[in-house]
Amino acid sequence: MKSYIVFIKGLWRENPVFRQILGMCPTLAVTGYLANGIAMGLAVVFVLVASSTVISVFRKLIPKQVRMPTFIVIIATFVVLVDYFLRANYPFLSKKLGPYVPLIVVNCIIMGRQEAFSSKNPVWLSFLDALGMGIGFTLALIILSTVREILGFGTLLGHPVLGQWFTPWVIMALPPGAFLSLGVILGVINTFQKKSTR
Amino acid sequence: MNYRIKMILTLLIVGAFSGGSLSFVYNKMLPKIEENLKKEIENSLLLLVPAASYKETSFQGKRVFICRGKEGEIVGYAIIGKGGGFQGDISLLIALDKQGKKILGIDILESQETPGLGAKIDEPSFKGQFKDKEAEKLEVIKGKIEKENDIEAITGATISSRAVVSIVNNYVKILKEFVEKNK
Amino acid sequence: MKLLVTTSPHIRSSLSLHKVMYTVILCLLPALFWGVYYFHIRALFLLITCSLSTVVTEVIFKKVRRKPVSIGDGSALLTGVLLAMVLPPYLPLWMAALGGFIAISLGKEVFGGLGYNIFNPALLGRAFLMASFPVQLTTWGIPARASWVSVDAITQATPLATTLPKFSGNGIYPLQKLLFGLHPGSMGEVFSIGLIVGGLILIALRIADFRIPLAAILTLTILSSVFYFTGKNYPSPAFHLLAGGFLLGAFFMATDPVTTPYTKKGRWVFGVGMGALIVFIRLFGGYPEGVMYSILIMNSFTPLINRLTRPLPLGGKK
Repeated sequence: MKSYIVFIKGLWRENPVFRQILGMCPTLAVTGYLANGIAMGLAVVFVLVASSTVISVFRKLIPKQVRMPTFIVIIATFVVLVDYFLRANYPFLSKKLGPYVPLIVVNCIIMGRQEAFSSKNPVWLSFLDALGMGIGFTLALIILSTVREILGFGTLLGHPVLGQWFTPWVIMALPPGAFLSLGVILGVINTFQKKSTR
Repeated sequence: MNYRIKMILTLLIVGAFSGGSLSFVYNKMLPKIEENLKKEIENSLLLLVPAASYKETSFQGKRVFICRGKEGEIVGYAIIGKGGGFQGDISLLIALDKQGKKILGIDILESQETPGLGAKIDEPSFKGQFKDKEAEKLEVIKGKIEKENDIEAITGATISSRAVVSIVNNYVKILKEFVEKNK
Repeated sequence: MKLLVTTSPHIRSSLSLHKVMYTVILCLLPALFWGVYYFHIRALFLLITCSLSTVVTEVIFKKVRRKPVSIGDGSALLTGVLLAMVLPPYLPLWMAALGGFIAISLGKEVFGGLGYNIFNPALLGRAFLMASFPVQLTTWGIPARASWVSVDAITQATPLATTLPKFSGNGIYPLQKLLFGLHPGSMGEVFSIGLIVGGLILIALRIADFRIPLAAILTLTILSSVFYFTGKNYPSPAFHLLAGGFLLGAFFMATDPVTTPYTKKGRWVFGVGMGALIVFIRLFGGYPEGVMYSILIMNSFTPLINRLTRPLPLGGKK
């Protein structure tokens, strides 16, 4: 039962984007297209799961004083792996995500999970926690980029969905659109959250 | 003393593992990454100047391509041009015919123009206008084009349109010099 | 002795909120009537769409948040009217409706309703539309046919877009056309005489404070004279005063008590900043018109201006 909760909490109740407001940089920067959002989400899932598992395995061997640099080196290794992988196999995606793939290193969701969870918990639980958080992050990016791609381009995954009459809202494709839609989504979520707890 | 050694050892081992695995992966991926980069330019080149081989040289610090057909005869020239756009730099490929008189076409390699507006510079309706133009100074016009060397600006993205045309003008001049020298 | 105590929002007369709002709308009527007459029935549609959209949005928000519906105070209606006045008359109506929705929802209600908003809601709505539909928001026109119910337009550039030197204009434009509203432009911005008369009535009734409009007009005149007399092809100060949305902005938007400073000194600062920004955006910016952005930028400085210009209480220390 406990492992189930560890996995499920990242999806919604402790969703890294909507509830913890972490990882804002990629959330705001790459959500113009749904494809970019999914790719960024999956890259983060991979880095998060891999580094959480590795760190949890070696958690008793890593001295407290140097845990931060050790974590960073491990995370950075996986990030660079992802970057090379994308550049070699999906050059188009890699170009679109630009500097935001290397920037996963400084994504606070990843460092946060190591500090808060995987450096203190057994491997299986750390794996589930990372998976849950990663999927929660991906979910948030999917929601945000769906809204932005439909309104900003009138397409979804590149296919026109709104027809000819629609004039794309250019602002949604621009950085202000990311702030606006994230703010509105957070507001809506908070309103409903308050109502359900009341 | 003991914990210090442990600290150093941990970092050393982690660093060594990380470095080792990365250099292994890098060496594996490098050929593919380089091939991708080359392909990107070659795909654009193939679109503009269909040719059998492309030889890259450097002229006045710019990247220039000599395009040859099957029997080694020259069919055209291309250059990579760069300049400021509305946001960030625009880099594009410009191709001239073998006399250096006519523009065979342009293609956008990289740009950060506003999606939905300036980004239309990469659409055929805009960049197609350059095809078969005389390799002289081009001008941006709002609304209907009247003269031979006019380029119609994208509605709402005059700055991006002007930027592309000014880059084309600058680099066509350089490429023409190169063609003259190469004759 | 005449004692005038201001500082802090004191109510200075027996006017209540809804009376203020409706008086402002009355003062806008000359310019509105001319706009509808000159741009024909499409301008009327635009006006109705914007007003309906703002009022309905306000009702929805109040209902959802279980607050008393305060439509009677006329502030949502005023926002709708002002929004219609700053939009191109031939804008697709669904875009106008979207602008009204954004003006009330993101411009006012998310901050907590009337009195808490940072930015002028009507201008925020227009700024959103400008960023979303730059092509439609910069397409201007005049009616194609003489018939009053005609909905077709001939596309034509505004005086600012043809006169400014950065668009290779020569800086000369017939001023009487600007004065009598015989040129393409936003629905409520073209008729200068109506705006001047309405604005002066508003000031005479003490609903609008004279300081911000006066400071803006003086700054605009002085700064544009400097360019006019020293540079080549820069338009005259009179053109700057009458063209675009300056009069509407200075008299009706920069005097909104919520989003502008409440101290006397602060109002001078606001007006000067607004006038200077307009000149610089018009002459050197990427857009032909700068009134909207100038007011919005100064809106964001309002809390700071209030803080810095707050008079000290007697015996108080800095």
